Amino acid sequence: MPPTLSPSADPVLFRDAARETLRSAFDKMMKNADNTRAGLEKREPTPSEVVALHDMRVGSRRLRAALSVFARVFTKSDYRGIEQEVAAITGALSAVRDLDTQRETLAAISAGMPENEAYGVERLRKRLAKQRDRERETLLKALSKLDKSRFEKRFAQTLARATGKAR
Amino acid sequence: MAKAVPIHKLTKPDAPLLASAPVIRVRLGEVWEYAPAVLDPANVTELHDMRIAAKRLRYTVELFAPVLPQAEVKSTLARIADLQERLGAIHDADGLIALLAQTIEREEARERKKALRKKPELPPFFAAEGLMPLMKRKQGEREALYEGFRAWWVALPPEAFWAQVSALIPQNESEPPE
Repeated sequence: MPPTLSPSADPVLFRDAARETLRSAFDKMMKNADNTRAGLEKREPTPSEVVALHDMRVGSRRLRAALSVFARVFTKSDYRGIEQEVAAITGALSAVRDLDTQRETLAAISAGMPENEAYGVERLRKRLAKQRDRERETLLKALSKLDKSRFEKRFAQTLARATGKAR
Repeated sequence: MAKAVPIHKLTKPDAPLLASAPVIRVRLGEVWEYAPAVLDPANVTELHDMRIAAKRLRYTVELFAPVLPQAEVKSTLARIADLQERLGAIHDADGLIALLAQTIEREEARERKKALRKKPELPPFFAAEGLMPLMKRKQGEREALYEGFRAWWVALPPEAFWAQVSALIPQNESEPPE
């Protein structure tokens, strides 16, 4: 759900809603970045790191949805830049998350199987683990790119410019 | 994947947020587009695309939630989430079935290749021993999930879904497009 906007007799203005909603969506996405990264640096992430990656993906999707509604508060070039960066990180997060989900499902299935039946499922899990290794490298690079380009700072500045108030 | 319709041109950045609420109808229209196709269980792509469209609709309604009637928003979001979850379960099953089918084919080819070597090297078990019954079981589960979804969707009925979401929007159109 979006943040609670200050209760007032005045109607909520589009630009104010854009500022509050986009800032909140961005913060929700980025607060999971450290834990997501920790889970990417090893082959078998902890359950909380898996959840962090999932939450970061949900956050990035919500941010994209909010950007698509509030696009007109930005200049074209500001919007295009931010949208592309958020889309890229969403794509990289999704690739890893989908593999995590499939591996979790297969682990639960294989745990209840006799050895001969679990054999094929375990081979599939190993193949998915290799795919995850490739995708987590891609995601690590994408996260590192956000850091190096000071994405958090740029996003805050762009949003302040677009909605008329400093963060 | 279904591409989202650009909605920003319908928004009014210098007006109250509520003036831009008609964008919800665009997202609702994206869900509605798949209403006829999802009556056929074989339309895997359309079922998936409707799920994505429902997700976009839910996020968009949530963005406008602070300026919409609270009780109606809550029940509408619950209805959209229900649609999304039902379609999500079908999509997960479809994804797993496709993955299992692909894996069976791949493992059988590998086992055949190893068996035909001068010094045949057989695995301890054949991969299909577990994968084949698992795939059959998942196909059965998918069938049940789809039947559950279809019965739920038809009983709503879909026109009532349209009306419920439309009612959130000022100056709504209560009739869905043909």
